[in-house]
Amino acid sequence: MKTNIKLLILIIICFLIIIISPFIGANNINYANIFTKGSVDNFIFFSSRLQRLLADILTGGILALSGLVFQSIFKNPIATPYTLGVASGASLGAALFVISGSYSSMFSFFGSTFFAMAGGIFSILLVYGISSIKGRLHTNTLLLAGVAINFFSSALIMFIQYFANPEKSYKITRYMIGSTANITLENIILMLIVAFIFFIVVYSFHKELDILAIGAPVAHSRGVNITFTITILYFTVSLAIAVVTAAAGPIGFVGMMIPHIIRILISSLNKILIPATFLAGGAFLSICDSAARVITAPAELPVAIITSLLGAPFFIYLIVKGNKI
Amino acid sequence: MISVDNISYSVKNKKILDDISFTINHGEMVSIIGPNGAGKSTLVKLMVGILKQDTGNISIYGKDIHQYKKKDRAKLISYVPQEYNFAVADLTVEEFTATGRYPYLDYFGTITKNQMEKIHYYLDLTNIYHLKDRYISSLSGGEKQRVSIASALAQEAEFIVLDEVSSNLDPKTKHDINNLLINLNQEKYYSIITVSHDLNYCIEAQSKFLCMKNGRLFSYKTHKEMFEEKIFDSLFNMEFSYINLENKGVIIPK
Repeated sequence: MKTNIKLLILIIICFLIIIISPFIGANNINYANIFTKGSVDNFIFFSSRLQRLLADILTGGILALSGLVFQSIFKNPIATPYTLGVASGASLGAALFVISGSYSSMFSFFGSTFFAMAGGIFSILLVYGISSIKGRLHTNTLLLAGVAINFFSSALIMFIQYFANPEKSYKITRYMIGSTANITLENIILMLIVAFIFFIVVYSFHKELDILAIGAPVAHSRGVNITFTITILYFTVSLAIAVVTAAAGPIGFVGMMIPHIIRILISSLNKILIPATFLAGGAFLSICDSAARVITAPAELPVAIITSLLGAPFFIYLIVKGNKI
Repeated sequence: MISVDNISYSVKNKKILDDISFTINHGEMVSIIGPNGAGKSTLVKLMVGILKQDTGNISIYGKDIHQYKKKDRAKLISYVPQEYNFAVADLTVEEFTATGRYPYLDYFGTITKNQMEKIHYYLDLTNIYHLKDRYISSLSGGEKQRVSIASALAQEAEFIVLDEVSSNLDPKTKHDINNLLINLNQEKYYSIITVSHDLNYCIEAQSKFLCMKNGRLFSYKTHKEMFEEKIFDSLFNMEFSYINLENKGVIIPK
């Protein structure tokens, strides 16, 4: 099938998912009332579900695109947005905020978001600093330093949890599972701005990403400014991930899986891959979140549980069938 | 003209290359040969600007290669590595070859009709036009090397540096790739610089021999001189028989 047709089909499917998902949820809404100001239906549809849909699209899109960039930069098919320790750094920040006891609400915008972003950015700088000590940026060192920071932060989080009281410990656990349920409007506005800039920056490097994925020596010989490209992309991705993780906690599998699926189903050419991955990531998280709302209704599951439960088997199916990774 | 002047390169205080100088003129075919670990691959990586030497300098047409803008340098010298990593991206032959056009593309990376014609021309030149919509991962070793060469040609650089491109190929495929390179040199006047262990092919290609040993330039001679002075013996510390077979020089280990 032609790439354009496959892309068109993907776009239609994604839009269908996005349009349908606000109509899925534990509460039955009387749709006749949704435009009535002050009604419960109006509140659920607009302030809860549409807001959450937006959060899902942005979170899923940013995660998927981040995974794509890291896989290309590191030429490593299992690199994820979290490989470089940003998420665990952000989680550590959030955990520190919780035990500091100064919170009014766990998910208050300026408290946990600020701490989580600070934690994320601190680990970005640390990892980048470690890999540039020898004067020249090495992607392998970047990867290894990221993994080390990841484990170190995770250990610190466990340390904090071990000594925290049960209530705080639960709050940290709850954050670490990852969910878009408590993302505030302020967070969404911030994510919208970040996603916009992030997308433009990544897309402007689409030619470089094509060549980087082939290998650094060839990229050099083609005239790509590798250090510049990787530095810009690394910081842009990391900051975007810090913002998303601060809002939603770590959500697994989207970032690793979606780029591969799009590569297998549509194209490896970044000109197409970048927008398709962003869209598919957003749609995938929306459908997972819809499932999270209804599977155990009236209780809700954190979406991160669904992404991995749905994602892993489907991914394995594609690997076995596609044999192209 | 590429001129390499007194370059040295060390890794962790171990000298990989020690005070090497030579020049390569436009249209020349140069084979870089020598025992394993002699520094051949390092030398070509320095020449393409992938690595940077500690001392000395490398210039193309009188200008230091690190003084060029990266894209301008890519228009003068291209590089074909031993193998590629396809773990992440699996492009089609046409898409892969298009990456060679990188130094010529505008900000948006639009492949114009003119650009596409050039890509097709080089696919045709390397006899892989019929494979243009196939994915790289589905190709044989020889076909992959052709794609790799086509993408380097698409860079339209007059100097092409190849690092052991025919090492893992069967005799027929190796022969075809070698002939392709010889044609590119003799008919299209590309300057072909290859790292190779295929000594008889290098003799057949009538190339100059840049012989490396222990990080130093051992000798830099024409194929005739290599043959007459039996330089292969001292270079590899073994004895070869030098035979004239059907008007071609051939060496075989004694």
